[in-house]
Amino acid sequence: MIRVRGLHKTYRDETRTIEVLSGADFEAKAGEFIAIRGRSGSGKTTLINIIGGLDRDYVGEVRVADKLLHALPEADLAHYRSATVGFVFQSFHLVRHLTVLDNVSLPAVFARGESRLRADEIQARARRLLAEVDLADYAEVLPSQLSGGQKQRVAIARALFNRPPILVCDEPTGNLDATTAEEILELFARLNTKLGTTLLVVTHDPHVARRATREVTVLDGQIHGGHLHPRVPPPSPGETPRPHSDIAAPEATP
Amino acid sequence: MKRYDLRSLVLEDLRRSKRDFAMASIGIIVGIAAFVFFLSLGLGVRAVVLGEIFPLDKIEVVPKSLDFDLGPLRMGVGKDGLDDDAVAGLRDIPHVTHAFPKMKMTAPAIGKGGASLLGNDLYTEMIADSIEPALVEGEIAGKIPFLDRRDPSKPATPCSADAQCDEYDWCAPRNGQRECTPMIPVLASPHLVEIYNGTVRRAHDFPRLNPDFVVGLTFDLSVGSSMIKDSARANIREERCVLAGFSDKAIALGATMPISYVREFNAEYGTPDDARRYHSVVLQIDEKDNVASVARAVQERGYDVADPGTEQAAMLIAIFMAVFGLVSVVVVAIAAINIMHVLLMLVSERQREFGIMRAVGATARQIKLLVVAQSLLVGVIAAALGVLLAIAMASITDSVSARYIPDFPYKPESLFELDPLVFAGAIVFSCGFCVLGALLPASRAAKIDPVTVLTSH
Repeated sequence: MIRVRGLHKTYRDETRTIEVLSGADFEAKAGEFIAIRGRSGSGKTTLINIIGGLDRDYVGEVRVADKLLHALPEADLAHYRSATVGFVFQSFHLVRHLTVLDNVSLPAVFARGESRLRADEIQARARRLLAEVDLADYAEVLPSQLSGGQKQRVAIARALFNRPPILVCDEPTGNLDATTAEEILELFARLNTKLGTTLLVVTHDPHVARRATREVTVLDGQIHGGHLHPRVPPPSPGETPRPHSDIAAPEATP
Repeated sequence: MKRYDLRSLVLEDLRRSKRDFAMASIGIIVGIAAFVFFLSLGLGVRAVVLGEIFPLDKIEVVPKSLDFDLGPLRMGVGKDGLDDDAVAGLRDIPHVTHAFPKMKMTAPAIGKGGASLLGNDLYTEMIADSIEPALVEGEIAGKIPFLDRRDPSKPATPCSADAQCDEYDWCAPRNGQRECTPMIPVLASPHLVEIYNGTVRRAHDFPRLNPDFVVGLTFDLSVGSSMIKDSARANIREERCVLAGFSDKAIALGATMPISYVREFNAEYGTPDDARRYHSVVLQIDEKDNVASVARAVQERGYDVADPGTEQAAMLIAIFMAVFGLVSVVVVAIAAINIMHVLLMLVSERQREFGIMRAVGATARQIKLLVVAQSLLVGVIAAALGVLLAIAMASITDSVSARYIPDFPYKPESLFELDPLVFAGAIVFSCGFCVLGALLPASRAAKIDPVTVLTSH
């Protein structure tokens, strides 16, 4: 599904050059739920931005769903971002002035060719997704009227709109309290097991990582992976969720 | 958002930033309004000047002469007229569709009439010329035909009063008795009515004339008589004229008759040459664009073109339109720069939104299109408002003109020619500037790096 070979990524500013990924290799099979961990600035977000087709400024080979990303023209890469991957960000990144329903259906606005849907199909799909994330009653409200957890669920619904096989999530629970974070993780687990969606989740939180089927670590420009662990069940009813205070502050993405 | 396409996003963005765009589009509205207003005014004035005062698809050819002043007198040296051969030669010039000779009446005459209109008869030394009736064929819509209705084969009908004769015939003294005779149909120039309504009637407190209602007016003509004693002839011929209509082909001050009458008067009161020589020939040209080449051909044949000031008038109007058009262009251009600034500001404010759009599948081209479409829509709306403003301003100007500006010759009902093509041109012009203004902001929006704007916390 995903194969990364010899990935180099360098950031430059006026005074220095930092190579965050230096010949990194990585692989993910379809349906995996992979937690990507590492210190702040280690290159975790960079890795998923490259795999997600947002960042094209790198050296190396990145092949996703049989597509060699750096060989794709700009328009095809945009289509790849629309059809193959869905993004979930720590800061949700909803469009403030659009209703929840319109935020979820935003990918339909830019769909091209066979991906284009009729207005009624778009509405129906967006409402169905909102129902799946337990926000059916919030379709016509603005994001400013939602809690953090609700916003993140809207962002997840938007990421799933075009039914992508891969979901890349950058600190998806970083801005949420422990209970809400648990709900989001449960949603991810459901997506992974029910729909077979491949999940790449960047996180600092060991609890989040334990919910994944595999954990990789970005360290010294390399990706160290393969650490498999059984999926941790969600807390049982009545059990106090694990305190969230130990979640690291959002990293400064290089 | 109900349509789920780029259009819906454009409308949504405009709705959000309506105040910014409204401020930015004021310049466009004013510029387009000025553009349409002055262009329509120029076209309106041009239509009156070139359509009614100086018709452009005809030229009048006159014999070449060299004038020089001798004290109070101006002497002319050169040909005195044009004969039938000259007319035939002029008719052969390429692009000339018709050649209509005009002949002046060389006999003295006194006109008398106007009692029914003004309360008493006026007497005037009559100036008259003549044209071929074909020159105004189809132009005179009145019930009185402009042609020589006399029929030599018809026996004379004796009479003692006008009432015994047919309509537009009168009981004329002929050879010691009276017989029914057709009146001479005459044409007058619209200049005459304009001058009368604009100036003469005010000085004498006369009623305003409606050209349609004075058609059919009659006046008597004593050919051979004159107020100047030495000019009067021994034989006087009494005629009655009836006004058949108005035409710009008629003599400016006087009356124009069918050419057969004048040829007869000139032969009777002058030399045989006076009945054969034309003082000018009107050439009808197929298209306005060919006027210059026909004028050159006329001059090459040794004749002059009577210059009524058409070129100067056309040039003045063109300069007027160009100057105000340029001012409007500058106003719209400044407004487009203003729109560019608004869009740059909005693009800067919405970087994250554009980043989100890129992340969910928007191409750089779609982002560019989104920004350009916003500007285009502002351009269309502002231009439409500008056109409406111009129409309103034109209507107010016409109303003020009708109410407060005294009548003057050729004062039109509307000073403006509101042409849908001008409106469409104004909208295209506005859109063009708005699209130009949007190019830089659109390019910046398309270059926004989603990684930078979405992952910097």
